[in-house]
Amino acid sequence: MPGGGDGRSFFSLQCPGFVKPFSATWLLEFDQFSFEPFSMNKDWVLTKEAFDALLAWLDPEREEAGRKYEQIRERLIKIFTCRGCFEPEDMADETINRVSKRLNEIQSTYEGDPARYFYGVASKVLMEYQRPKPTPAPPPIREDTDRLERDYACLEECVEKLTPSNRELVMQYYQEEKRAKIEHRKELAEQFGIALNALRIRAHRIRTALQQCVEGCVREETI
Amino acid sequence: MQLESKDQETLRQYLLGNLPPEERASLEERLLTDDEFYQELLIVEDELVDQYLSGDQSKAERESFEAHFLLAPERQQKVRFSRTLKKYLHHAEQTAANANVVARVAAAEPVPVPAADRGSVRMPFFSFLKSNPVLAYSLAAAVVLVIGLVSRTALRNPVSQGPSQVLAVALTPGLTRDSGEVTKISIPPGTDTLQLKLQLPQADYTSYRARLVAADQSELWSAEDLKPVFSNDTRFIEANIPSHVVKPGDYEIKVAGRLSSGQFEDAQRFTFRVNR
Repeated sequence: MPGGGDGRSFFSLQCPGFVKPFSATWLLEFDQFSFEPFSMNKDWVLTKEAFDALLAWLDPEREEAGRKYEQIRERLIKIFTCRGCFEPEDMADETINRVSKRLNEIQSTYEGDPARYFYGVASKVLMEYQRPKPTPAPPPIREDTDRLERDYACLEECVEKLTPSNRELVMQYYQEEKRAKIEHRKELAEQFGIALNALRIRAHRIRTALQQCVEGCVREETI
Repeated sequence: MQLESKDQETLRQYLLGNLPPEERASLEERLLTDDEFYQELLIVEDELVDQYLSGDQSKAERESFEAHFLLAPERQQKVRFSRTLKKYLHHAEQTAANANVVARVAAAEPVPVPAADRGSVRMPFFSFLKSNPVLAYSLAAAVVLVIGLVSRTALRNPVSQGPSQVLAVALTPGLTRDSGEVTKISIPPGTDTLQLKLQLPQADYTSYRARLVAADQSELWSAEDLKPVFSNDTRFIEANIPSHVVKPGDYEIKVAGRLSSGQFEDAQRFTFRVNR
């Protein structure tokens, strides 16, 4: 349930860590909630009306608008991450809030892909971020033996959940080392009857799904 | 839109924090509007992590990777996951290779152990073992037994080369201390040289470098310009190590292949334990 009137941001209340504030499911169920406004800063509040207007600007179809919103937010987070920002989610949300705030002024005159406008605003947010705050040093990657063992056990489980075809693909795709890998992947693409780039994409998707599965499995075991 | 290799290199430099600001803005705008390009970024990200873990980056790239790329906690998670995946695949590969060894030994082929026929043989064996864990363990135990017999035979009949005494032992990749299946070598008194026959993957290297490191990773011996030799379709190199270098303990041999550019890249690792 969104909301919170204690002055803290909605995101920090509901979505610590890596959880997105608006999941696709949450978007679809958005109308079922009695909406309470939240704010990213003291100056402006994103209301349900403002958010609806933002979605309508992205696409007339609400479901498609939700998809585009998710896509823009994910990519903004990635860009802020690539720029070395330590709070990329907060910065993406701040960007979205600023676009929402100015929507009335721009939507009648702005032409082109709305994503470009988001990028313009993100650039300004980035400039402000880079001036006052130095980026904290990254925490070192800890080699926790227990955690490594849990990860490994979870990976074994997750690999078993793959379809035989996907399991074979990922096992073979990542097997060979270095130079041999290039030739091996060409052969593998032929074996699967797809182009080499299509093979890369498919392997990436399976790998991403595996990583999500492992992280979910480790979280469950930790709880 | 078909992405070009130039795009991949540009994305790579962007992820490492090395892209000039004037190129960065147009790239980021494209990331927001071009689905295929954004997907490519995610793939290049994975590839960078793999190359980092394989030690397949230049010194400068590695520094950028650690100083810039690894800043984000989500990327540290990515590295952790990739390390686990690499370990898993390594074990899977070795299980399959060991099964292949047993099959070849059963067919009365001599040591050194033949290399797996990558691509065609490995996966059927692996799939077979995944569905038969009991058999997989039995095969692994058989491999240990075979290697033990090889070591004993070598111990009793050291190969003589002129006046010096040479103990020859074939090492296969994949037997690790982690798995408890490390190859044990007993060096009899009077042995001058420990000759390790190191089985290698098929690859186009002009020559190899071998480094012997102790459990604390200190380097004890190394040799360069080792030429591969072939026996029964198996490629291997011989590492002739003075026996006084190896005391009782655990060791690792790191083999790197020389590329036509003159640079080396990791090719294979072997572990063994020396008893006296």
